[in-house]
Amino acid sequence: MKRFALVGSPNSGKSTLFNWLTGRKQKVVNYPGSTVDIAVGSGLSIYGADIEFIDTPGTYSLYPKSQDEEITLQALFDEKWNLDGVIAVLDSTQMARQLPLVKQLKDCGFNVFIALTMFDLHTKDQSVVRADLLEKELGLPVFPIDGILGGGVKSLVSAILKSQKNSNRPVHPKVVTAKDVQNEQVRGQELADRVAKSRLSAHEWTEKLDQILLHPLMGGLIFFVVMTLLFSSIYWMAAPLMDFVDGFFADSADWVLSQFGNGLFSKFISEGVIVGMGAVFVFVPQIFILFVGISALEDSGYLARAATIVDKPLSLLGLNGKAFVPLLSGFACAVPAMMAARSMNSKKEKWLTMLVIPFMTCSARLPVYALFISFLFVHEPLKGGVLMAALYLGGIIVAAVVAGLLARIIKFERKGFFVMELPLYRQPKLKSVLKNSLFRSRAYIVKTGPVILTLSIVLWCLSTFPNYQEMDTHKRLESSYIAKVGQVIEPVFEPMGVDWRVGIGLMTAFAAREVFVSSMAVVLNVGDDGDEESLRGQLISQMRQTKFPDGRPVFTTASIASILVFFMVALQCISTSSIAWREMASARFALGQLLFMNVLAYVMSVIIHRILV
Amino acid sequence: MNSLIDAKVGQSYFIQDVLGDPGVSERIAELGIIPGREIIIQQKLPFHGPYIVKVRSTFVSLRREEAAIIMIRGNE
Repeated sequence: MKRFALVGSPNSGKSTLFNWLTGRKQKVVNYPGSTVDIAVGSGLSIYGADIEFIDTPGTYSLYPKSQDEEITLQALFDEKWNLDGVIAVLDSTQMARQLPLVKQLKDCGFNVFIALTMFDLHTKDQSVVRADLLEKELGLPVFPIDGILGGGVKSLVSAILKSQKNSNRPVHPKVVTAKDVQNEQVRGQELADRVAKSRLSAHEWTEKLDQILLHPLMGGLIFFVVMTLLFSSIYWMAAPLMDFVDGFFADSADWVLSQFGNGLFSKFISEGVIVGMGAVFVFVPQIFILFVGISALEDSGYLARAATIVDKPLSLLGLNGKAFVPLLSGFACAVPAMMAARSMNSKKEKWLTMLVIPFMTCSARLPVYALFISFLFVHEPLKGGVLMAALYLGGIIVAAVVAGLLARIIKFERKGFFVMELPLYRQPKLKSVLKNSLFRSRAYIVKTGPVILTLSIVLWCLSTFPNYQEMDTHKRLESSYIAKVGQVIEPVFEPMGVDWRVGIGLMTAFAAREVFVSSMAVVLNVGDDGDEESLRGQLISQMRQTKFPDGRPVFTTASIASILVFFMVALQCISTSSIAWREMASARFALGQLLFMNVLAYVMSVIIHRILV
Repeated sequence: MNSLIDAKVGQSYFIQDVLGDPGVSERIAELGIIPGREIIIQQKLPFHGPYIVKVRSTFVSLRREEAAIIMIRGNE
C-alpha cells in the first residue's frame, strides 16, 4: 500500500482535494503524543490500487508557530506513516506566497507532487497559468485540479501510483531567520511571475466587499446581525429535529417496556440505556447545525473577518481574535471548541481561551434553562426569550470578567500576536461544509457519549437499588442509595435554597449538564404514570408540588435564580475536563479549572439566593 | 523611518523593513509582507483595532502592535 500526506497553506483547497481523493471512507486518527485528530482516508476504489491519504493541518511553512502547525511537521517525519510522498496543495491565485512551502518540502527530500487549485477564481480571458512551465522550473510534477468538478484528480492519482519511493529518508528543515523567509518569498514571487499572469475578479470584489464588511462602523453592525442570525437559526432549525430525536428515544423506551414487561432487565434497557442514549443524541441536531453555520462562514472567508472585528475587544481581555472560532464553537459544545484552540500561537492566550470556553452557553445547558423558563413563564414566551438571552449574555460577561482579571494578574513570558490572512471571498461548497460539520460533531458524540451513557446507567442503578422489588416507585426511591447520598450532602446545597433532591440533580449534572433534567424526573418520580402529557409537562407540575418538610415550596424565584446562575457558571462536564487535560497536557490545568469554575458558581448562586430570598 | 502606524488609509507605501521577534516577523513574511513591496492600508478598525492591509494579491489583518514593526517609506 502507498501512503501520501496532503500538505498546504490554510485556505489552499486542501480539504476539497482530500474529499475528491477519499470520498466517504475516512477514519480519524488520534495523533500519538498529542491530541490532534488527523483524518486518514483510503483512496476511492475507482482509482484502483490500495492507497491512503493523510490530511494534515494547514500550515504556511515548515517552520511551525502554533500547535497544529507543529503537528503537520511531526506527521511528515513520523516513521509510523512511512510516507511514500507528499501532495503539496498550491493555490494558483496565491502561488508566489505558497511556493516556498513546496520548495521546503522538496529540499527536505520528499517525493513531491503538486496539486494546483483554485482555477475557478481566475478570470478566464485575462489569466494564463502555465502548469507545464511550473513543472519544468521546479522539476516536480504539477497537476491542475478543478475544485468544482474534480477534474485532474485522476491523473494525479495515477502518477502517484506509478511513482517510486525515494530511497533516502527525508531530513528535517533547516533553522531559518526572518531574512531567510523573506528571501524565500522573493524567489517564490520571481518564479510565479515567470509561470503565471493572472487577473482575479474574486480579488476585485473581495476588495469591494471588505469596504462594507470591514467598514469601521458598518462592519461591527453586520457582524452583530450575522451572529444573531446564526444563533437564532439554530433554534428554529434544530427544534423540530430535536423533538424528533427525543420522541424517537422516548417511544423506543416505551416499546421495550410494552414488549418485554416490567421486569428489572427490561426496565434497565428502557430507563437506563435507551433514555441515556437519547440524552446523548438529542443534542446532535443543534451541534451539527451550529457547525454547518460556522463551516459555511469559514469557507466563505467571513470568519477571518469576524475574528479581525472582535480582536480588539478580545485583546482587552488578554485574548486574541484567533480565539473567536473556539469561543463560537463553545456555544455548541466545549469539547470540539477546545480542540479548535490549537490554532492559537501564544501560550497565554491559549491558556485563557481554554479556561473561559466552558462559560459559553453550550447546548447541554439549554434543556435545563428551558425547563426552568417554562416553569417560570408558562404563557409568556417573550419573557422567557429575554431570560434565555440574559443567561447567554451572563455566561459571556462572566467569561469576560474572569479573562480580563486573570490576564492582568498572571504573567506569561511571551506576548501573542495577531496576523491573519483574509482569504478571497468565495462560495462555500455544500459537500465540504457538511463533511466538516460532521467531523466536528463527531467529537461530541465520540468523546461525551460514553460518559453520559455510563452515568445515566449508574444513576438508574443508584435510584433503583437496593429495594428494586418495591412496586411503589416513590417508596423505592425514598429508600434508594441515591436518596441516602442526597440526604448526606443536603447541607452543602441548603445555602443555595434547594433540597436534597435538587442536590442530587446538581451532582448528577457533573456527568453532563442535561442529565439534571432526567435526574429531576427520576427523583421527583415522574414518568411512570404513562398519561398523555409530555415528560416536561409532568415534571413541571411535579415541581410545583415539591415542598420542603416544613411545607415551603422548593422551587421559588429565588431558588430557581440560584440554580440557573449555578448552571451558567459551573463546569459540570467530565468530557470537557478530560479534553482540557489532554489538550493542555496538564492535569493541574484541568483540575484547577474544574475547582475554580465550580467554586465561583457556588459562591455566585449562594449570593443570588441571599439577595432574592 | 516611519512605521505602518503613520500610514494613511488608501495610500500606497513601500515596505523597508520588518522588525520584531522571529516568530512574528517570519509569519508576516510568510504572508508576503516583505521589504521592497508595495503596501496599502485598506481599513483601520476603530479604537486602535486591527489594520487591514493589501500586499500584492494578499489581504492580511494585523494588530497595531504588528503594524508598528513594519517600516515604510512614502511612494511618491
